This record gives sequence, C-alpha cells and structure tokens, in this order.
Amino acid sequence: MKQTTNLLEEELLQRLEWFIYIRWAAIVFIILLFLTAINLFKVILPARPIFLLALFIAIYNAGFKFYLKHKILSAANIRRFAIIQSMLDIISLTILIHFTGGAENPFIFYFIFHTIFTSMLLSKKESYIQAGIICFLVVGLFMLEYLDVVPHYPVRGFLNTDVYKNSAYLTAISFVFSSTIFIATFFTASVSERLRLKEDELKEAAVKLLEKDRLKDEYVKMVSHDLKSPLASIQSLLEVILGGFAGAADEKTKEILQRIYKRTEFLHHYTKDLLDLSRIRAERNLNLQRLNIKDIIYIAAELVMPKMGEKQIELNVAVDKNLSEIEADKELLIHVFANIIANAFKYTLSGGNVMIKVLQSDGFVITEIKDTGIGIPAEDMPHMFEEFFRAGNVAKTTKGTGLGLSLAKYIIERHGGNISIESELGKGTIFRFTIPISARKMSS
Amino acid sequence: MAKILIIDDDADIVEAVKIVLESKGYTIITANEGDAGYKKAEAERPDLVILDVMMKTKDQGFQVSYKLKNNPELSKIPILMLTSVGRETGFRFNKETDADYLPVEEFIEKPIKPKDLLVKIEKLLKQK
Repeated sequence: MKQTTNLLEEELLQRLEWFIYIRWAAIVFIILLFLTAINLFKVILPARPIFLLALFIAIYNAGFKFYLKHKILSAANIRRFAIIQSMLDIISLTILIHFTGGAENPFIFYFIFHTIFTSMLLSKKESYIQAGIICFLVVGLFMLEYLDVVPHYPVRGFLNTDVYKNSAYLTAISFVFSSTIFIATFFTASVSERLRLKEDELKEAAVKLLEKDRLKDEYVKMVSHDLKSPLASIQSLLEVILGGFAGAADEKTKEILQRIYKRTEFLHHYTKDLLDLSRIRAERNLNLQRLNIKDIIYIAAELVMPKMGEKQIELNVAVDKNLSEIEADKELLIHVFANIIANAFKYTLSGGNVMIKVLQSDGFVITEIKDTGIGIPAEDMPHMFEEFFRAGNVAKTTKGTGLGLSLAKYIIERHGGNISIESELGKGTIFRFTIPISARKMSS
Repeated sequence: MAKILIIDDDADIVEAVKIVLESKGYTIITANEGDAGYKKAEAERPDLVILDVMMKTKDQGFQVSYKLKNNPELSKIPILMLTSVGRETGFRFNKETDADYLPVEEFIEKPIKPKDLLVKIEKLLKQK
C-alpha cells in the first residue's frame, strides 16, 4: 500500500508543477483582460491594486517554482504545499474580484475552474473544505461591501448602476455561486476519487504481478536445480559404464545405455536452460564491467566448438579495429554469443560457414552472426523469440528447448539493445543485435 | 600412485569418480561433507582434492577451499572443483571471472566426463 501512496504523491508533485504554468498564464490573462477592458471597452478600473496583485501572484509563483526545484519534498510536505498554493490563489482571486466590482463582476464564476483543478488534487474532505472557504470569502466580500465595511469598486463603463446594494440580487448571486461551487466540487471529487481508486487497484495489481512473476522464477530455479543434480549423477554413472571403467558391457547393453544417456542429456539441457532463464530473470541487477567484444566472442566460441563433434564448419570473425569497450554483464553477454553461435553451428550442415561481424555505430556495438544453414520458415519468424518455441523445420529432427533465443533477447534488452533475425529457408540466417557502448542508455 | 581425496555429498558422484580414478590406479579416499573432508585432508595429506561446491550449505565447497589454502601445510594441494552450474552459464563459478578470488586450480562440470576428468587430474598432478 505504501507504494501506491508514493505514486500518488509523485502525481501530485507533477500537477503542482503544472499549476505553476497555469498561474503564469493566469497573470498574463489578468493583465490582458485589464488592458482590453480599459482601452477597448473604456471601463474604469483601479490599475494600481490590480497590477500589484498580478505582481504578488507572480512573486509567490516564482517562489513556488524555486522551492519545487531546489527542495526535495517529503510526502506530507507536498500536501501542505498544495494546500498553501490553493489558499493563496483563492485569496488572490477574491482580492481581484474586490477591486473589479465585487458582486457585480461576472468573472466570479471563474472560481469554478479553480475548484475543479484543485479538487482533482486534494482529498474529498479537503475539496469540500476548500469549497466552503471560497464561498465564505466571496459571500463575505459581498456582505462587507454591502455593509460598507470595505469600499466598493464599481466597474463604471460596464455596469452603471449599483447592484451591490441590492439585497435580493446579492442573495440570489450568493446562492447560485455557492451551489455552483459545491456541485462542481461534488462532481469533480466523486469522479477523481473513483479514478484514483481504480488507479490504485491497477498499480497494486501490477506490483503483485511482478512479485508473482519473481516468485515463479524462484520456484522454477529451485525445482530445476533439484532436477539437475540427480540428472548429473545419472549421467556421470552412465559415463563410467559406457567408458568401460566398470568392466565390459555387451553391445546390446551399451546401445540401450546410450539411449538412456541421450534422453538424460536432453533432460539435463532442458533443466539447465530453464535454470538459466529463471536465474537471469530473477537477477535484479546487471553485473556491469568494461568489456572487449572480441574477448567475449572467443570465450563463447571456445565453449561452443567442442560440442560440434565431427562437423566441418568454418568460423570467420571480423571485428572493427576501432571498436570501443562496452559496459555490459560479462557472463550474460557470453551467454548470448554462445547461444547464437551454437544455433548457427547446429543448423548449418558440414561444409558451411558462420561469419561474425562486429562494428560500431551511433553509440551502439552492432553484431551480425550469419550462417549458411537451413534457415527458418517464414511463418515461424514472428515466434522465434517466444519461450519454448521451435521452428517447424527442426522441431522434430533436432533436440532443443526453445529457450535459448528468448533468453538472448531478454539479456540484450536488459542491456538496452535489440535483436532481429533475417532468414531465407535453405540459404541461411542472420542474427543482428545491438548493445549500447555506455550503460547509461540501458533500459531499467 | 597419487592419493586423491573426493569431497562430495552426492554418493553417486563419489562412486562414479572413484571407479574412474581407481581404474587408473589412483588411491581414493572420500568424505561426504566439507568439514569431514577438511579433517581427512589434514590427516591423510592427499596429492589432490576433488571438491564439490554445494554440500551442507550452498557454498561449503568454497569455504573448504579457503581453509585448505590458508593452511600452510595443505596450501600446496591442488583443488579440482566440481560444479553443477556450468561454465557456459558461468555464474559465480567461472574460472575466467572467479579465478582471482577462488583459490582453486581447476574446474570440472557435472555430469563428469571420465576422459575430461583424467586429463585435468593428470595435468594438476604434473604441475604440482
């Protein structure tokens, strides 16, 4: 729950900034309206108090702006800050109304805008208290002028009779004004409260979902680790028998053991991929260091080559000489390269070749891994990075888990880069991915 | 022939390693847990230690390796560390990244390939 409150405060802070802009606009509006009224409509208005008031608003607005920029506000302070701003605005507007005709000024209804704007920010209770204060100040002003406690400033040229002494008019305008303010408050507060509740629910749901996803990853990690250990033991024992270390076995037994070994090996790879996927996704921070892509490629190729068996495939590496070091997670990057290089080898027939090209452009290192392999059917292309997906032309014939590429994509995106594939069935495939040179470009 | 101490809580792994090494004439002693393994190393002074990482605790193997290397009488014994989290993934158990602060001479990944195991052991014993 604490998190949702924080989010609300953040939103409040943003709106406060927005209010500062509106206030600058309001100052310009007051001055323009004043100049238009006296010059175009020949209305007589007291210039000095109005300009002084505009100056007063400008000064406190600048103060707010400065305060917001230089002080880090706590949650409670933000609320107090919002209320102070709102009160100063109400007082300024009331003074402006006073110098521009009081009850005779049709602009009194501009209080509605203030009411609507601030009711979106304040709590329901605060909104109603604010509506009460507005009505109290405005109706109070009418009364004080009516009773001659404060002077009345008529708007001669616009209204040449004194309505402010007309008690029936004053009663009517006070009632209409107050009810308008309260009804506006009611609608705004109700709608914004409902929106706020919905927003809270959504935010809470998002937080819960993230936590669930993390728990799932933890669970998969635990389970796959517990699966991996016995599998490794089974395989180690099978290796001992198949290697003839435990005495000779006849051919039929060996063949059956070989089958068991193959099935176990697949299961082992599968759990390893699952374990990698969940571990990397559960990892919150990248372990960033400065790296040379060339080293990464050689480490990755060294990991992949021994598994290629008898296949004769040529590997060419062309790395731009002036390539900068990049800031990245070494283990994860090795994982990406090893995975894509292994794929290229796996799906390229003997006699083919794999070409790795790395160059630099626009703050990114761009890697291209191109093979002359079997390619990917067009209809499978959009799904290649989905978890557990395997292309139609290899799903039955080659063993694989369908997790490698989705993990590669995840790692690259964690680094702030992106990955794409280009492929022609029967001709070959190109994997292209970018990694930002500086970690500052990274997405969270 | 060299004397090798295997420290692993997985009896099947111990058995597999033992069969392979005994077939080549090595003398094998075993321990199924880190502390017991360290005591055996003190008592028996093996020529090489094969050490698992995750035993009683997630990193008991690391603790044992530090203890062995900090004991001047045992620090010369080469350690071959068994990891079930592969070099491919490397996480925290990678020679390339962890050699600086992990005092072990070599890593081998489970499942254990006998040929690989024998090559690494011969290399370590020769270096000694």
